[in-house]
Amino acid sequence: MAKQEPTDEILITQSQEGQLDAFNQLVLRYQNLVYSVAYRMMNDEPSASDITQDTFIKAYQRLDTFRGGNFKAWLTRIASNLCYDELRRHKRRPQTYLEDMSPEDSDDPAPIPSDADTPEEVAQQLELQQAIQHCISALKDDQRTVLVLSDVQGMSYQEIADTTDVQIGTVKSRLSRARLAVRNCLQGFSELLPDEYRL
Amino acid sequence: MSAERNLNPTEYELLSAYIDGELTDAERQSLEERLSSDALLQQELNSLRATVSLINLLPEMQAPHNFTLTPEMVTPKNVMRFRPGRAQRSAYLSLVASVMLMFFGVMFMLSEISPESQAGDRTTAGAQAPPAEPSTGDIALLTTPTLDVVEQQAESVEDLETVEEDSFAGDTETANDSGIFLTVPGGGDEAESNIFLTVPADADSFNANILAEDGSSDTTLESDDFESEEASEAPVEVPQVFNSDMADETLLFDAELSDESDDAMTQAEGAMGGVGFSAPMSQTSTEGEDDDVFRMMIPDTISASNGSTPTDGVQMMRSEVTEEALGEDNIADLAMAEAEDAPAVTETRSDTTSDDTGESAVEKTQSPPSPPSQSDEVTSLGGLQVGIVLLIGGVLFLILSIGLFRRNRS
Repeated sequence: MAKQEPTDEILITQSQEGQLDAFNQLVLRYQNLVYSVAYRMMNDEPSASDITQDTFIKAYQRLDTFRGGNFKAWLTRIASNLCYDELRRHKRRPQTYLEDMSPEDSDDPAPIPSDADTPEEVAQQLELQQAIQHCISALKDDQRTVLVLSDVQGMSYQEIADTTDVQIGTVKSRLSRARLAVRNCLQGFSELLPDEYRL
Repeated sequence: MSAERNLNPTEYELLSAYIDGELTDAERQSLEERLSSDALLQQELNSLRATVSLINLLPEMQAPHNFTLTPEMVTPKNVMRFRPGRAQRSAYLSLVASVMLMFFGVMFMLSEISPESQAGDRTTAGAQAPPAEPSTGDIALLTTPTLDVVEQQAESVEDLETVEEDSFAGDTETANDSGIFLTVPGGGDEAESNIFLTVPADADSFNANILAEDGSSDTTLESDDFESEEASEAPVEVPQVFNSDMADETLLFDAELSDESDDAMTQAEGAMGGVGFSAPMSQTSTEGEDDDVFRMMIPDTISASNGSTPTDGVQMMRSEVTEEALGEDNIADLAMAEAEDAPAVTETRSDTTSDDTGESAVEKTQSPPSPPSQSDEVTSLGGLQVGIVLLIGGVLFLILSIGLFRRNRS
């Protein structure tokens, strides 16, 4: 009989008691999520790594302020706030163009291909992902954050509102504008789009 | 006609929320009714759905390495990066510094502005106040020359001629007794001429002694030579204390009375050949009335002492020196003198003219209301500047503290 994994609540309680090993189990459980959020928002692997590490340090130090609820949303909020601060600090606007993106020099780690994918299909899929990432990176910070949290992380409007400390109506409008901008951007990469995704 | 031009942002918001299932039932039903009949709306909905599906294609990123924490990462050294540690302490310190700087800045400004305005009020009130009751005169002196006086002196120096030392032939003993000394320096070739007027305070009558700077010669001006505004300004004979080259010099003294300068002998020395004015402050000139301003004018012709009592409440006394007494082209300038230990001040002003006829011409001297002394202005200006600098520093610290608070909060 396989040993049952402890729930988040148990690990959080143990972490709040100072058990660092318990918190590290939570880290392993959510590090891909946090790193994805950071990378989609920063479009930069070193920055995403730093923010991911800082997110878990900050979360551990502020575990006493966590009053229960969605730990995933709480972590994502910390990560998105750190990304906000980093973006504001450097006023960075990633300028990545399709011609500059190639699988060889891309920072985007290649997805794990399925056994059925041919090399050509893998390359095309990678280009498409880079194009999407490019369009997301071109968004304004507030729009990009909402889009990543909604369409990449799958958060509800309420969770996004709680994470970004804005009203749900603001989430709606920002997400609508972000999706429209990405749609218009991706129309420029129509040759990469599968038939079922023609815009 | 493209779809973007037909749909407004609100419709795109409805479509976006519809995709996510975030519409209310009423909104969803209304939108679905429109979608069934609006091909463009349906087309845009499909396009947005495809966009969301494409974004959803993005896989969850694989972390390049594990981000598990070590005990070293959560030591207080690393805690300081995020906890309200140094940044918050710095923010609080900056806030405290800001408050203190702004407080002292305001205090500086208030402390400098208030006395200045009060002094201005006193001056105005003193100028408008009726003459005080006659009493033995204590005259507080303002020894600091104003800018106007300095400029006037500078102009006068050009025309100033040397006062012959031997032209002052008078009785210095009388001068010492009377306590009022109007001293015109000798040294005939000297370009700068200082005149000192010492007013006694402890005598019912006083004599003004005009003497050479070296004391070799002087003249005495009796107390009755000084007239109030209300008193007769009939010219009296001037003793022969100046040589004939010093005619037509009009000396006007503006004095501000003070009863706060007990036994204080203040002496004003005119700068650049100006006229000094000094007075012993042994008695109050005006009882219960501080800082009454009067002008002392030496009559054009001053007679010997006639026993009249000087008036402490004199608002204006004029002294005019005859052509015989003053040199024809000599100009005696009066300087504003500052009494060191007397808060009350006396402004000394001299307007000099010359009379070509040389026949005891009286030059009417108009004295405007006493302006604040230059030193007061300089002091106030300095205080204001310090206050402004402190305020600016306080604002800068406030901005710094706000920035630190915001950073710490993030």
